[in-house]
Amino acid sequence: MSEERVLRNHWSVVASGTVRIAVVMAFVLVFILQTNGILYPETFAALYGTAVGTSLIVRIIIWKKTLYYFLEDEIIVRKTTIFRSETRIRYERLASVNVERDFVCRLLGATKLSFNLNSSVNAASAEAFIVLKTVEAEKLREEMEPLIFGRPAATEEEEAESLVEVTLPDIILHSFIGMPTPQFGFGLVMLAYSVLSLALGGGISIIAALLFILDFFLPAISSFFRLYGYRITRSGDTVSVSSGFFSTRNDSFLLSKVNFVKIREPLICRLAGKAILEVEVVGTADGKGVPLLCPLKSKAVAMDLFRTLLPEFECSGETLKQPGSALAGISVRISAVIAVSYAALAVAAAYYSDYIIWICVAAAGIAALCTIWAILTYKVREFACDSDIALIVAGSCDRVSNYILLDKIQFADVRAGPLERRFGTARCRLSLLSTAGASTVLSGVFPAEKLEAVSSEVLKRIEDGRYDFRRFQ
Amino acid sequence: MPETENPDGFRMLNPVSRKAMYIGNVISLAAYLAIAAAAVYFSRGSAWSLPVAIAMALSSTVLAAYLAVSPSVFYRHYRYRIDDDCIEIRRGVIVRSHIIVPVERIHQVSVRKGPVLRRYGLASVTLTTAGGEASLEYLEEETAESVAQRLNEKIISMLKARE
Repeated sequence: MSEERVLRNHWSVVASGTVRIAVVMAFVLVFILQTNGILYPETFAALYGTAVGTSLIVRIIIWKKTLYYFLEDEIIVRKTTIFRSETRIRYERLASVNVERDFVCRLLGATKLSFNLNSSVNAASAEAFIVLKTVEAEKLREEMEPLIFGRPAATEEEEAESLVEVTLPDIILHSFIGMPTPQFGFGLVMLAYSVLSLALGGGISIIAALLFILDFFLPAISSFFRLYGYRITRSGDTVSVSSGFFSTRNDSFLLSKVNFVKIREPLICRLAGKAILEVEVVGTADGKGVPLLCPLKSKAVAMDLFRTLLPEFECSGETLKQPGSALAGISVRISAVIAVSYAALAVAAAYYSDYIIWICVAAAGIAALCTIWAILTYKVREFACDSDIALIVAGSCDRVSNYILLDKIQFADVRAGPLERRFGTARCRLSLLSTAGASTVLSGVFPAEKLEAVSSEVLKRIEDGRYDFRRFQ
Repeated sequence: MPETENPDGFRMLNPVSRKAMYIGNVISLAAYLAIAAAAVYFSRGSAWSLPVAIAMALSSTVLAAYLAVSPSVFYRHYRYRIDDDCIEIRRGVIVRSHIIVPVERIHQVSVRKGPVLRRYGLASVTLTTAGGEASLEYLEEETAESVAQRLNEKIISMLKARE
């Protein structure tokens, strides 16, 4: 930034905040007054006016007294309200910058720029954000990108070329079958139950229909609108991901800020040879899941993009399958689940003897599902580690391959139960910095010394200087 | 008897820590029994009263047995070692953990003392990293303070070296 710039949020911040409060207060006041039997127009108007008016005044004061200073090497957010604060963010510490336009912003011609640091504190919410007129926001972003990402903002031509061609059918497929298998299965069972009750003349089951809508349909539709028009572009070491139908969002981040890479394959997608490529970068979640690099596409396409964008995350270590002894632990867990379920079914059978056939069907179903789960759990999980990367393939129905830079591992916990100790095996829990703060990745059961090697390698890298903190700042 | 150090550099807890664990466990058990009693009381007279009573009696017995045995087992297996590069903790009752926290990853060190720990002159040291927390539990108060001070000094000198 050539000279100091002092900016204030666009007035739409006050408008959108007040509209939100106005809507919420209307519901809250009607509920409270109705419950107490004093819902009179004049009482409502007085209370509603006071609440919304106070909120408007407070928001105007905060808006007037919050200033953003864009200096040569840092941003200062200075609030001089009753609670004074000054936040300083150095450009080189920023992990990502997001450009968001929600419905209100689009209506009022404004854009929200969010700035996120690579830290687990405030990982789920931006360290600072500013709302400006769209033209001003674009100009500011153009000026800031060289300071943050070390290169000029992408030109129109660069932005036009997406690294992966994502079509409308891809987004539809991703939204409907890319969700976790238990959620998908539960949604379908609820749908089948609703349809069957309707077909058999018992009327539609409201609860089942509601569960289908809440668990399956709404998340799928919301995912569709969020990912509509998905594009991923690269300029130097900076990746930009943009999408959205009603609200648009553009996340830009440096590849060096990627904490770990996930290749997610829900059961149905796996059977269809498809995969989803995701990365963990602080500040890009915004409560809507980790950022996608590639929505549901053929696994070959996802892997190609992975190798092109993040070759340093490829693991060359020997991939280990779980040893036969892992089955013992899985069997014990399965047996415990079956025993508890059967005890509950036995109690149910004693009380509802008329439904004994259905209870038997449920018992057989539980046994079959547990067996399938045990087989998948045993077959899916894998582990590999070389001098830079640990690969942990986790999951049962849904396979998730986590490619983790050893330099990003915060600490490791190698844990073994009585059965695992008997066979010299263990599981490893790696604690990491993730999109929404801290997260852990748990491995399957593998020889304990192989898992212990992860911690040793992390320490070795720190000792011999292969770990360079400057690389990730 | 104070904390002891093994030839491999790992330190064991002060035996008094078992008393603190027992008191903590008695409080946990009392809380669970209160919940179990409430469940039995409110299911009285319903068709589910017998299964609920059996489930609560079974779970309370298993929990009581575990809480009675766990302090001794925990004490026997708990080890920790602090060297220049990392903190190692070996702990667990049924599932045994081996946690290694590189000093380089620690952002913050804090000493915590609850009323039960204070009663026995004990404290816990919490190590905060960007990926979560690890803790050294039931240390003697003086040891906890000196561990925290040592680690804080290391972190500060590391940060200074980076500037």
